[in-house]
Amino acid sequence: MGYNFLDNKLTRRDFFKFCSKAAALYGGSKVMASDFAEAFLKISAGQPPVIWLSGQACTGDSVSLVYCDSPSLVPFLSTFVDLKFHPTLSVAQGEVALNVIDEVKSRGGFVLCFEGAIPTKIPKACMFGEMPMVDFLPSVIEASLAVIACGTCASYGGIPAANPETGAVSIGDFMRENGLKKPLIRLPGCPANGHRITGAVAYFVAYGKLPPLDKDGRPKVYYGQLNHDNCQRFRYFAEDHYAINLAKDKRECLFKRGCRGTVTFADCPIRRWNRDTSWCVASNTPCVGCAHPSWPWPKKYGMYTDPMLLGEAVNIKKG
Amino acid sequence: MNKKLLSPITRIEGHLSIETRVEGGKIAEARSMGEMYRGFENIMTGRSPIDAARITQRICGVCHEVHGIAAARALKALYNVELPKNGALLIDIILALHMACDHMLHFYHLSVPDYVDFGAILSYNGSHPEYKAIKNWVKAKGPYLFTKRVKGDYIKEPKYALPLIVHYVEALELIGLGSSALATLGGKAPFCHVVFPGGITTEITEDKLAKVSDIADKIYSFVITKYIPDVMSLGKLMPQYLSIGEGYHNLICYGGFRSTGDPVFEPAVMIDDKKLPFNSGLIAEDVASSFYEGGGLTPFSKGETRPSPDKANAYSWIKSPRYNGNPMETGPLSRVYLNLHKDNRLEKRLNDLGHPKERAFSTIGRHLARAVEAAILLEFLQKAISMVNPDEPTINDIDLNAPVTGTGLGLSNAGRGELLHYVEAKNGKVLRYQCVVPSTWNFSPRDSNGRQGPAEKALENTPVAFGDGMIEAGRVVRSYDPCLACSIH
Repeated sequence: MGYNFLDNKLTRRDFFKFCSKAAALYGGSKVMASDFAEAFLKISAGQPPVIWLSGQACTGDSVSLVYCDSPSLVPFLSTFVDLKFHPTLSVAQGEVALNVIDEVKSRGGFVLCFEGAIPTKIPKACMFGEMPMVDFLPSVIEASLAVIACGTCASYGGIPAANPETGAVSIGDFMRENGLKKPLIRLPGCPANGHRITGAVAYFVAYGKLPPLDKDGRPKVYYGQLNHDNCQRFRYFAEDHYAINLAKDKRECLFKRGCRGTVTFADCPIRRWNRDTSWCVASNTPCVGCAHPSWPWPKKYGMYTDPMLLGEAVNIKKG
Repeated sequence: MNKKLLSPITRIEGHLSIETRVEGGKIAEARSMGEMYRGFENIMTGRSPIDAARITQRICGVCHEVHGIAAARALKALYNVELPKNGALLIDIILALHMACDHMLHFYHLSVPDYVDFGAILSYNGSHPEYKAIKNWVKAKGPYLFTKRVKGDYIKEPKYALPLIVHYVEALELIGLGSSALATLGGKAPFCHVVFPGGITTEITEDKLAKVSDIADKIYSFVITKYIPDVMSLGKLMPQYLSIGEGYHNLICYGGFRSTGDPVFEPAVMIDDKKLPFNSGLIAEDVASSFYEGGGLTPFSKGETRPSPDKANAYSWIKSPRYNGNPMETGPLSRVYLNLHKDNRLEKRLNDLGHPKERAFSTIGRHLARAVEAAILLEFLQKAISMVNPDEPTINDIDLNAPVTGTGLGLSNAGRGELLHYVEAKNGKVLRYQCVVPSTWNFSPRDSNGRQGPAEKALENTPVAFGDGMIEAGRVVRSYDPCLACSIH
C-alpha cells in the first residue's frame, strides 16, 4: 500500500494518493480528495496535538482504532495528528505521563479524545494519577480546542450509566454540568468504528472546524441514516420475510429477532467493520443498537425483544 | 518509610496504581490499587439473562470476546441448550484467534516499550520504506508517544533493539488482519454479536474458513519466527527478569479448548508447587481491602457487589478471589505450566536459556508462557477449522425471551487467565450475576488474613535502581498483562 508518510514531507504529489483514501474513509463523494490535500498542505507545518483520556471505559474504542487500516495506526499518527498521550499506547508512565499532559495543557490548542463515562456521584470510581477524573478533567477540557467523545459511553453514558450507583454521565453532560463550553463531536458505537474516529479527527485537523453534524453532534456522514436504510436485507423487511430460526434462516430480515437497525443511526452496513469485512446483520445477528442513545436499553425491554414492544421508547417506522 | 505511588500505570487496560515501600534498594511491600468501577454485575440484575452475552462482553474492549463467550457458556444450562459440534468449534476458534492476537498486542505494544529504547530506530539504515519513514518521523518530530519515558536500563544497541521495534509495527498490522478474521466469523471486532448459548449465528462457508485459516497461518508464522525468539532474546539480554517478579507458586487453570476432542488445557491447580485437581466449589471472594460492603470469603454463588467507597482500610475496587483460601496466579503461565505434560515447549525454551522450568515464575517467564501459548492456540485453531462442516448447523436456536429460572456457571478462558461467569435467574430476570476475572485474581489486594494478591507478592524484592522504581515495577506488573476494566468490572 502506498504510504504517503514515507517521505515525511507533505508534498502535493506524494500526498494526493493518501488523501483520496482519507476522503474515501470520510465519506466517499461527499469530501473530495483534493480538498483534503489542500487542507493538509496548509497545516503541514505542524500536526495538532491530541490527548486521549479514558474514564469509566473498556478501551474498546482505542482497540477499534488500533485495528484500523487505510490509514492504519502508524501512518495516522505520523501524518494526521500528534498523539501526545494515550493511556494504553504511550511509552510514558507515572509522573512522566502526567508531565506530558501538563505540558500539552499549558500550551493549549489540542484536541481531547475521550473514551468512557465519568462518575459524578462516586468520584473515586475513576481515578487518574492520584486525582479523581472528575477533578482532573475540567482543566484539560478548558484548555482544549475541541472534544471528541469516542464511543457510546462518552457520547451518551452507555453501559456505565445503566448503573445509577456511580452517577456515570457522558462527557457532554459533564461539560454542561461544569459550565465548560467547547465544540463537541459525538461518535457513538460500542465501540465506535475506528474509521469514524480517524475520519472525524482528520476532518477537524484538515479544516480546523467541526464536520457537518446532526442536531445531536454526530457527524452526518457516519450517522445520517439508519442502519436499516442501508441494510442488505431491507428487501426482506419490505416483503415481510423474517428470520424465525437462526439455525436455518440465514438471509431474512432480523426485525422480529429484536434487530434495532430500524432505530439506530449508524453506517455499519456500508462502512462495515475490520477492513470492510462484515457487520452484525451480515453475520445473521440482529443489530443491538450499540450506537443508539438508549444503549444498552432500559431493563424492562431487554436486548432481543421484538422492537414493536418498545413502543414509545423508540421510533419504529414499520407498524 | 519511603512510600511511592506509581500512577498512572500506562500501557495496560485501565486504571491501576501501585503503591510501593522501598527499603535497601528493593521493594519491601506493594499495594495494587484498582481505580475504576462501573458495576456490571449490578447492571445485569433484573435484566433478561441473554443480555449478559452482549452487556458483560463490554466489561473489556481489549479482551473483547472473552466475556461474551464466558456469559454464553454460563447461560447454556439456564436455557437448557446444547451446542452443535460446529458451534462449539467456532466459538473455540474465535476465542483462540482473539487470545493469540491479544498476546501479541500485549507483548509488542504494551510491554516492549519497557525494555527497548525506541530511539534506536534512528540507527536504521535498511531500505524498507516504512521503517525509513518511521525513522524520519521520530527524527523530525520526536513524537511524545514514543520518546517520553521514565529513566531506565533500556536496550539501546541497534542489533537487539531494532528487530523489536520493527516487529512492533509488523505485529500491529497482523493484529489488524487478525481482527478481520474475527469479523469474518463474528461480524465485527471488538465485540462480536454472533455468540449465543447455543452456538454462533454466522453462515459458515468454505471461503470464510479458508480466509480465517490463511490469516491465522500468517500470524502463526510471526509467532514462531519472531514473537517467541524475541521473548527469548529479552531473556538473554535481561536474565535478571527470569528471577525478578517470582510471586507465589500457586496456579489455577479451568481447562479449555475441548471442542476438537482432546482438550488443549486440562483443569488443575497448583498450591506451593503441589499440583492438585481443580474444584470450582473452592472459589470464593474476599472484600476485606476492597471498596465494598462485607469482609471475609464468600462463595461466588453467594457473591454481592455493594460499593462502599469510603470503607476504612480498603484501597482497591478489585475484590480478592481465593481458592480454598489461597491467592492464585492465573494466565498463560497457569494454563501452560499445569499442562506441561501435554506440551513441554515452555520448559524446553527455559532450558535453552539455561534455566529449569521453575524460572517460569518470573517476569520474562510469564511473557514466554504467553508466546508459547499463542503458538499452541493457533495450532489448535487449524485443527478445529479442519473439523468444521459447513453443511451442518452452527447454532441451536433458542427463545431469547424465554422466562428461564435456574443457575448457570461458565468456566472459560481469557488471554489474561481463567474466567468465571455465574448467573442466577428467575422467570427470565437475573437475580445475581457474578464474574471472577483473571486480573481480579492476579491484582487482588490483601485479604482478611493479610495475604497479598499475586502481583503484590511478585513485586516484593524487585530491585529499584531508577528513581521511584517505575521502570522495574512496571515490568513486573505488565508481565501479568493487567486488565483493570476486567478485574473490577
